Amino acid sequence: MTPEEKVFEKLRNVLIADTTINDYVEGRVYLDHPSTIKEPKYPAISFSIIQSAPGISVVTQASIEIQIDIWLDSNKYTTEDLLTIQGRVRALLHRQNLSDTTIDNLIVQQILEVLVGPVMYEDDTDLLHLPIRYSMVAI
Amino acid sequence: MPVRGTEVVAKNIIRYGGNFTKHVNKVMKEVSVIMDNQITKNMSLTEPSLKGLKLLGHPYARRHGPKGIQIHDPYWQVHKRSGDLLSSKERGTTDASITFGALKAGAFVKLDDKKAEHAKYIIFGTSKMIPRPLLIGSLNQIKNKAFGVLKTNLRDLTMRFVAR
Repeated sequence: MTPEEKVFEKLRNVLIADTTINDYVEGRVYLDHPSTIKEPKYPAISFSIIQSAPGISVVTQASIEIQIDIWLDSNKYTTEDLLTIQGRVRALLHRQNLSDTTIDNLIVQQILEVLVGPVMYEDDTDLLHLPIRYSMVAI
Repeated sequence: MPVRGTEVVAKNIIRYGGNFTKHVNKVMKEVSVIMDNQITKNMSLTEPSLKGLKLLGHPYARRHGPKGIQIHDPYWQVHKRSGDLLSSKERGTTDASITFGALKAGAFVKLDDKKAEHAKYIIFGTSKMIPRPLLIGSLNQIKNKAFGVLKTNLRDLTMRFVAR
């Protein structure tokens, strides 16, 4: 597995295990963008790689920046719900130890929330969208 | 590892007096111009046209993959259409200050989504369109050049400065 694949699997496991988040998304933490999924359902969380560069000290190390997108149906949810989920994601990921020997000896040396994007509304899909960027070094 | 030469740096900063932060601001302004030029270049593509993009099957649609159909390199470059996005671009610096021995200074380029609402959709993507990290991508392209400017101007100032 690549460091990116290992990180995505770990993040998905961590987010789904959280009761608050899972009460919203009901297991829908997509490892790819919703548009690549046939008939995606919402609420959902998805991951995208923004940039990834090989590490300098270890061959298998990667410096990764990802975007975690929170998607909610605006007919049922509000900005407050988006921020509730973002707060839980931050509590679970920011500066946390996410190393996991059960996922191909994943080592996450540091993970930081670097940016919380604007709350966005898509009028063609009625979706509320909050992007969050995380950077990390992983092996 | 011991840090050597700090006395020389401290003495030179004291000798330089209030003009030191002015000099830092000048250097940071230079850095902001470097960033601005690169970002402008990366958001000024003119080809293909809107019609051409449609014929290509909407290359920025996420269904084509995490980088869309890569019709240009880097994939996150942006086209100039109405010019609103370019007009929304602002650059500046945050005034340099020294607090408890730590120098703080900053340079920035930003897009104002009050002037171009679609800026945020381009940068962060939508449920159908890939995010295009124009700002951070451009910053990565010029970071060595920007560090060079900082290193040359600030190291030389503090290590080699001779008070007049």
